[in-house]
Amino acid sequence: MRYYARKTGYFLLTLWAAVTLNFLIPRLQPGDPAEVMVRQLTGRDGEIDPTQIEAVRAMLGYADENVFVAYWKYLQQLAQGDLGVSFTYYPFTVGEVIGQALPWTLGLIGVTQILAFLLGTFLGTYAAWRRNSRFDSFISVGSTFLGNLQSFWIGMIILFVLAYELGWFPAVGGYGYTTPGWNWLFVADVLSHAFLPALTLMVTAPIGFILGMRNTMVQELGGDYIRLAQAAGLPDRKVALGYAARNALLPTVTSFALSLGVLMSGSILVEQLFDYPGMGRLMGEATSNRDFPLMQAILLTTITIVLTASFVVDLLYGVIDPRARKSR
Amino acid sequence: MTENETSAPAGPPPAQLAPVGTAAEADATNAPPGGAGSGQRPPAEDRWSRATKHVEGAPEVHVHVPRPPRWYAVLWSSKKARIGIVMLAFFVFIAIFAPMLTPHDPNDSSFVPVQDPSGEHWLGTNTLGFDIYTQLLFGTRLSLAIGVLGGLGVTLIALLIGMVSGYAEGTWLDDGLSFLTNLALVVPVLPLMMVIVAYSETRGLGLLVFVVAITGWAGHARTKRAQIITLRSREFVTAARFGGDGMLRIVFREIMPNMTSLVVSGFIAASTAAIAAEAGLSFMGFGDPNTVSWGQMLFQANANGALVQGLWVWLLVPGVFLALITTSLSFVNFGVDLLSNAQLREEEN
Amino acid sequence: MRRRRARLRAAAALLTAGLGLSACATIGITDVPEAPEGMIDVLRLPAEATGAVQGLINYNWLSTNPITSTWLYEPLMIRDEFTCEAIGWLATGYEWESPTRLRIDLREGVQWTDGEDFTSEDVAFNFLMAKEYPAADRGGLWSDLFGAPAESVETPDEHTVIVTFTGSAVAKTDKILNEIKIVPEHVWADVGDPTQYVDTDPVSTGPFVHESYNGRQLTLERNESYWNAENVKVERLILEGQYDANSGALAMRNGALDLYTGDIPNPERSVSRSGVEYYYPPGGTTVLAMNMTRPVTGDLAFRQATAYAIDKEALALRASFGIMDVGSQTMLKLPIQQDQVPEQWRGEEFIPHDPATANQILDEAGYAMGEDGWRTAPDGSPIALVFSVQAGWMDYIAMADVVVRSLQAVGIDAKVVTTDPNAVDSMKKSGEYDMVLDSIGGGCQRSRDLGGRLTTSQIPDGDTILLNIARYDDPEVDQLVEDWSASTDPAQEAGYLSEIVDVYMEQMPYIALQYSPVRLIYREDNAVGWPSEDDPYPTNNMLRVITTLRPPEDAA
Repeated sequence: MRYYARKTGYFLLTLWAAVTLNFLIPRLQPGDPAEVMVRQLTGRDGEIDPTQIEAVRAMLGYADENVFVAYWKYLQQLAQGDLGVSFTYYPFTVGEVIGQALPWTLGLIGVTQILAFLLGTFLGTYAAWRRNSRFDSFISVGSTFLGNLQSFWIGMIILFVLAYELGWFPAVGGYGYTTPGWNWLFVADVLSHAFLPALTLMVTAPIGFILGMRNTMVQELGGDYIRLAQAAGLPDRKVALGYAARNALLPTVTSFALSLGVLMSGSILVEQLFDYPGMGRLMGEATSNRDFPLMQAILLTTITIVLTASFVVDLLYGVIDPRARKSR
Repeated sequence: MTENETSAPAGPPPAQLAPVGTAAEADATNAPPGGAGSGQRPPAEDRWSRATKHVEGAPEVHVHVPRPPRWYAVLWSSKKARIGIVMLAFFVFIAIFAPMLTPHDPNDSSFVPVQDPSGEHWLGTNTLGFDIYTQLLFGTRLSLAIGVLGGLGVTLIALLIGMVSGYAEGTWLDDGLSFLTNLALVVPVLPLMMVIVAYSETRGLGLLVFVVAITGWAGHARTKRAQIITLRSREFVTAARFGGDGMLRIVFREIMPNMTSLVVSGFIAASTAAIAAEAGLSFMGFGDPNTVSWGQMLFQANANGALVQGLWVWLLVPGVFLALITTSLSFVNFGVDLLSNAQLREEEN
Repeated sequence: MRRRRARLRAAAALLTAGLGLSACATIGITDVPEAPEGMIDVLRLPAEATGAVQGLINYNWLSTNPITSTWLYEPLMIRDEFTCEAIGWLATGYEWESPTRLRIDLREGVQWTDGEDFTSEDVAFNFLMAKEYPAADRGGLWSDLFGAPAESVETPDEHTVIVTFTGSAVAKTDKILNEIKIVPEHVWADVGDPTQYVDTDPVSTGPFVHESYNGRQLTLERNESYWNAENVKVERLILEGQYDANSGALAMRNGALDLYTGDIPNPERSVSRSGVEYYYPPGGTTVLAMNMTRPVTGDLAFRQATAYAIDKEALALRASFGIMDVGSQTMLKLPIQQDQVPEQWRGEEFIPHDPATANQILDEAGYAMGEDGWRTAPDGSPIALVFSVQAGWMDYIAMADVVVRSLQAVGIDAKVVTTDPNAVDSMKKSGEYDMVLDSIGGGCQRSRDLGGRLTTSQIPDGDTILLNIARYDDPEVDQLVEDWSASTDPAQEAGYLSEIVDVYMEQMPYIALQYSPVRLIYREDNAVGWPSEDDPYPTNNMLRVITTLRPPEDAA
């Protein structure tokens, strides 16, 4: 019981510290949001227009606030569920903005991660089972090389070849000419637009799972209980999948759960390349625009997801693996 | 003592073998006890035995005790690690001898821009007038430097925090350090990087190493903490504690040497991540325009429209080299994994 | 053997799938209806909304991310930045009856898209709305920057508006007439704060009306009852997609876009080989700003020497691939505005690259050359200048590089330091810099664009960014600009201009480097009549451009 209470306590404490950091860090950046916004409107080479800047600053309404007062106000608003109004998308609220971007990220990266996980664990298991075969070497070497490619670099190549040269896939956007709604045309449109970014991400995503699963599997396969099972005459496949793989799966699932936090920010370059309207790109945009409310909200979402995943995993470990609980 | 942690458990040394010159490695259990005092059993003639006690009349019995392979032999035995080492040596060679491998200077932008590869410029020139081949060679230096220094920075911080935290598990010290680690894991990397970069007056290698170390140490610290928790309960640690050693001494003089291969493997992984991080940072525009690095080359290529101008060499070659250097490090890490996980070892041959 | 066959089969399947996938790129695309004879079917432009999230519908031009702010609501007049004429738009003319009283004559016969007439009530409402909600005051009507605040707005009849100010406000003319877009009073009167109004069904006067928006692609249809409809020959506009330089160039080459205004590096090589044209007229002048409150950079002789030392041709070559010309120190856009150059400076508009003269000036001013090859200041202290430039702005970095090398060639120790662009802005505000790059506007409100750069009232104070970042301080110039801002007589304009050009040429508060472009990259297979070298007119106002486009067959 103390185990769970302790874990919950730390979860809340870390959440509070993270929220405070999220409040401070954006405000530490140099730069005035109104100026940044107006510069975007007039273009980089345009002349400064102080009247416009003054007007936009009045509109956004963040100026001249004492930091402590602003912090207290922020906490109060947070407690009421009010995340504020975005500067970049004034006058829409932060919730509306994130609501538009979140499904795209969950779709693209959620699906990519799950596919990478499935593909990776499957390939890793098979490679470990057939270790030192040509297949194993091919998988290990191939996935190492592919996994070390920079995602933005491979994305540029994919974009150029598949979208512009061959014209097989659309180059920009989350969807194109169809109207959003639950109809086949729209779904097909979304899938065709998501294909290239997903492909780019899939080049580098599975490697962690493949190698992690393979190594853990090999370790498990060396265990005594495996020898016992084999000596007892159980068929190879059952031994591999039913026993070794299941044990090897636990750490892999842990890393999968924790990798969810990468969802939000890790894909920013790929999303920018493909003009894909996801959270990574939104975060990059909010940071460049000094859009405090939006940045704070996105960070809050990310951190909550990461902390919750970590928390759940910690709890589950206590349930699944009695050894972890005992070490207290 | 140190290398035997992962091999077969040491049995009682055979009493018959006198201490004269016997190889102390525990694999002597494999050797059938031979020699004096047990005349009933015929002396073993197989090549695995070598008795060392001299007995009159008894035939010479050789007990060949196999040493466990040295770490470099293990490393070299893996084909992947071999390839990795050779590739890495290639890059180190280029980094050291770069000025001799090219007639041009990497900071010389006086050449005619946008030239195709020719005898004068092996990979052509870019839109700003630099020679691409020369930049590629000199970029190796920065990549290796950031790999080593960044990896070192991450590993040192992770060791300090992770090990102390793990050893002091359950106490307030551990709670505090774990809290710090968790916080460092969830802190937003992109805005933090932008803040750090915006406030530093100059950009350069030091800044990159700092950013990489600050944002990368937490994951490794967690791993080291977990490792040390498992090692903490071993007898030699208890012995040292009863011997009166302080915590830091135990952690760094007793436990850490047992984790060497794991620490090294972590260091190599951190170096790989540092090189990739530099590429990403430079590509987003946070790099130092005054230094030559592959990430900076990719950034300039993209910002100057290499894709649409058809300047393929400029765009492809730095990316390929980045992939090769990180792959070579990963391959070396395969070999290091063998050192820590003996079960992987048997199959690599 | 079986493995091989399986692999071959897989490869074949992949190839077939790939061929079938070509259809993927165009799912759901419906043909654009054909336009009547003599009209252009459709023009494809990039999306105007710059936000990553595009599904939020808002046509309000005051918000920070409107779906379009160009095609629906219109300004009162458009200033031609080449000739400095005012082209009537929703207003047919204006006059300053006195420096404190502005009369605007509105066009008759203009209708809103819901059928209501456009009258002076609407214009007055727009002006008064800016008073009640300062966030909506984009033209600075009620602020005291660049002139006195307004006092009252009257509408003597349906097509005249009179604005009175508390003092002289002539310098605000262009901003009021060009920047403020007129929205209908009968729709917006009850919305409260106009900046917070989400405009989803716009009632406008512009050449196009919104036809459909699927969250990403905006289709605009030609407005039949537009007051200038006979000159609008484009039936449809489709705005879609955000393109960075690379994808923009590729889209232009493929014909997926008809127009692009972003910065494509080296357009000669990137796009113009595929039937795409480009026109980069000068919009303003990129200048080197030196901090006048510091000892070395504040010295006139040093600035003059710098002007001669910089190799501006090489700078233009490096920074803009040779497309932009070297800037004139008169800050006028040459050769377009050649006839506006004051007589005394004819033939001397450009400072040549002359290191010998630079060295001579420095020697005479007491900047002794040391043995290590670096000069010292007249008081003996060493010189170490820092040129702060925005990281990631490739052309600015190239320019800074050339400037620093030029200075080093005459013995001045300088170096380039790249920092975050916002940090550079902070430096401009606080005055903590030696040298930075800036851009002087080429607009026609010269008392503001050129004069404002030199007046003490425009010196930034650390919190707000203002024009006089070099901190030029001369009471005579202050008086000159004040008089100029109050002048309503066009005949005096030339005189004031001549005096301010004198200051720029003699005092060199800012050193002209190259012209900054207002980019236009376009295709001619769907429409002709774009601004170009042969037919030059400003590219910065798309409303004007659209009224000169014609289908290619009609081109004479």
